[in-house]
Amino acid sequence: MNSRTRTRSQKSAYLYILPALSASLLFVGFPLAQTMWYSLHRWDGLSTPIWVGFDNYIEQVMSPRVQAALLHSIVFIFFFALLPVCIGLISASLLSTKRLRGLGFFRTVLFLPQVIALTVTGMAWRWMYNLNGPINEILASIGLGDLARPWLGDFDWALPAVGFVGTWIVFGFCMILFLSGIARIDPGLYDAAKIDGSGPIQEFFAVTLPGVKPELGVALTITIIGGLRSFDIVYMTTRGGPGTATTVPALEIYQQAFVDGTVGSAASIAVMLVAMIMVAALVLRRIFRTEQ
Amino acid sequence: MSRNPVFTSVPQSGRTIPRGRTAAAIALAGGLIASLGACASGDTTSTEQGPASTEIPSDPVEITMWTVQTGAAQDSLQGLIDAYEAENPNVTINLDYTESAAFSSTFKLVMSSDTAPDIIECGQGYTQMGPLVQSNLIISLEPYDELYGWSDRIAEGFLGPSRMSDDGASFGSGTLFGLPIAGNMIGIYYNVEKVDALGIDLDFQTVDDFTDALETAKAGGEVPIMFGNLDGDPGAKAWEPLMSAYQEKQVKRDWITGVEGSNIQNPEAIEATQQLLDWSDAGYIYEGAAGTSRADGNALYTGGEGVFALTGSWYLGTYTEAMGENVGYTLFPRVNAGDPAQASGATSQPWCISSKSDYPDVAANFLDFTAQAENAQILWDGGFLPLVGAEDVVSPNTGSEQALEAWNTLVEQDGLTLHSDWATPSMQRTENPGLQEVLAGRLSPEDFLGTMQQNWEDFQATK
Repeated sequence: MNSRTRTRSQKSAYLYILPALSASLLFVGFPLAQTMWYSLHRWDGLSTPIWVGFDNYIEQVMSPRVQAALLHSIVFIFFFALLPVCIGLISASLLSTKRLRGLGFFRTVLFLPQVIALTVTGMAWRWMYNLNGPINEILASIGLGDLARPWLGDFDWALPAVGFVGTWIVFGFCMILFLSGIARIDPGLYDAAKIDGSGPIQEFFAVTLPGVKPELGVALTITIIGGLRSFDIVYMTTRGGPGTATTVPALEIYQQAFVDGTVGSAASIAVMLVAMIMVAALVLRRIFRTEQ
Repeated sequence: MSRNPVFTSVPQSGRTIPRGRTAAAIALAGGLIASLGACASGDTTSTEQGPASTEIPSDPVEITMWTVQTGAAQDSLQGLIDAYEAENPNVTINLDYTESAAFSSTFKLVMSSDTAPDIIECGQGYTQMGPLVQSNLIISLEPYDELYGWSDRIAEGFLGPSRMSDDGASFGSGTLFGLPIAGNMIGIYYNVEKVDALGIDLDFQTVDDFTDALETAKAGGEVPIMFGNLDGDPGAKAWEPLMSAYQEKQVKRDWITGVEGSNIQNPEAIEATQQLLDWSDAGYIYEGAAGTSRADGNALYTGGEGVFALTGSWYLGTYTEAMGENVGYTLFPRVNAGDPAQASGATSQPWCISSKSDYPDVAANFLDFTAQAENAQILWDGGFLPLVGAEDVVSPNTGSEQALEAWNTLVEQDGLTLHSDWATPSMQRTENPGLQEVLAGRLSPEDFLGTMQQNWEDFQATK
């Protein structure tokens, strides 16, 4: 192929992405630019915005409430991303080592949390964590009644309790992803590993883990972004309480914009959150770039 | 403010004005005036509007009313609409409902759209009414007050919180922007059977009397006070009665309406908050409160767990429906015996008229209808404590009757002290989580009130 036709074909290729690009600019780029613009103003959502430069950013970064929210979202990366990915990896490799009767059934059951509406999940977990709820009853029945507490109302335990709900929801999705990744691995590699004398653990690290690297990249990207921008689980379980023990940036944005009526400062948190998510996504892309 | 020319003459007394009933006879003039009103409503200054009139057109008119009320309360609004439409067959009023949280997040957009509802339920103060006044999205009701005589009929204590300065920067006095038709108060609900079994004397003269009753309940193996505080606001509702018991009403009101120099970090408020903490430390509050949702806490109470509930009259319908004659109501006592009755309470959300309404006269005529003594029963049936005609309504059960009695006492003694979380738009987010921290022993009453004062001062500085 000569270089001239190649150039021409590349130019015309831009035409193909034009519809998607313009839709994305209209529905993502424009609102994002607008949010950035608002973030430089003091604005109640109705009257004339007042230019304040970067004051909103300075104020929000200094606010203990926002700092707490940012810290919680980092804790949530553990519960929404790292933990479910680990559990998903382990359960996927266990499920695929042996030919399991009823694999489809287990797959469905473990994927179910992903399908249930989050409002329902939130209500159910509120009840689970209740003082008279099943978790405390189980603790009491095995003689650990002293540990019983209103989990979501406990300043020390509310954050991990909410985080665990996230783990419960996300890990099924990770597992399904890894199962399909493992199915793609050449069985010959496992045989070769066995012949070389590796046990199940060595096999996992030598064959399974490298084999699902693309899936690992996808899972971590989606779940880390999910953890950073989590809102619904917190809103449905604790609304950020007790005190500010479980507040997250997205909840702070919602409350500042729609409860306090300070749209400008809410927009500044939104811009910072978007920046955090973009950095996370870029780093992950770097790490998991597949060498062609 | 500049008073607008009024085409119809303003009679001596608001009560003698022709209302909807006679509308047909004066239809032509009314229609003309209403259309003039519509033309003039394009003005951009907040208090200037078309000439107001008590007459409504005879042509078919359709207006929309937007509410966040649910259940029995919504039924009673519909009841008022039905009664009004029966008297004014050419008027159709559509009742639109939006869930409260969704309302809060959309009302600014909705009200600035060209299809804004004519009548909107609009919370007093800086969160809802303020921005709408500031952006000229609702009209001054002063001309209608003059025509219908609302301020003759409704006590100033009730109307005051629906008044704002014309720039929306202060509330509590100034131009009337909303018409309240009902009220609410926070008091004591009690479980009749349990109180009888425990032998508790309900004639609480002082806060100490009530604390003794809590001790009796605890000693009797009962949960003294029931609420679920996972959502944050029920704890604040249990704290409010103490704030009203310890503080003088004007001190509490002034702080809420933003009177310069007010300070909530005062000795009485610290004592009140300490009392709540003492109750909590003594085990008088349900031990699972922190992890129980508002709805679950109510369900536990109506299901028979807990002797007392300290919350608003807005649960009267829910509680009496579930508990029948087993729930009673009484006012929360003051610190010192014999002090006049006070309770955290206010008018419920007033009704405002959109500046984009084509029929402000019809909207005002309907609002006037809702504030008539003869319609008080319709309001009370829906659990609204009426502002006008409350003496003559019939209560469906003992609990409601007691609440109404308490209400009339409060109104008589001018004892409503408003709600602390009205003070600034973000006060609720300071107060509710702060009280959760106080109840968990992580924040002292003094520091908690300090954070509220800080929020108040920050807000006053930006006004």
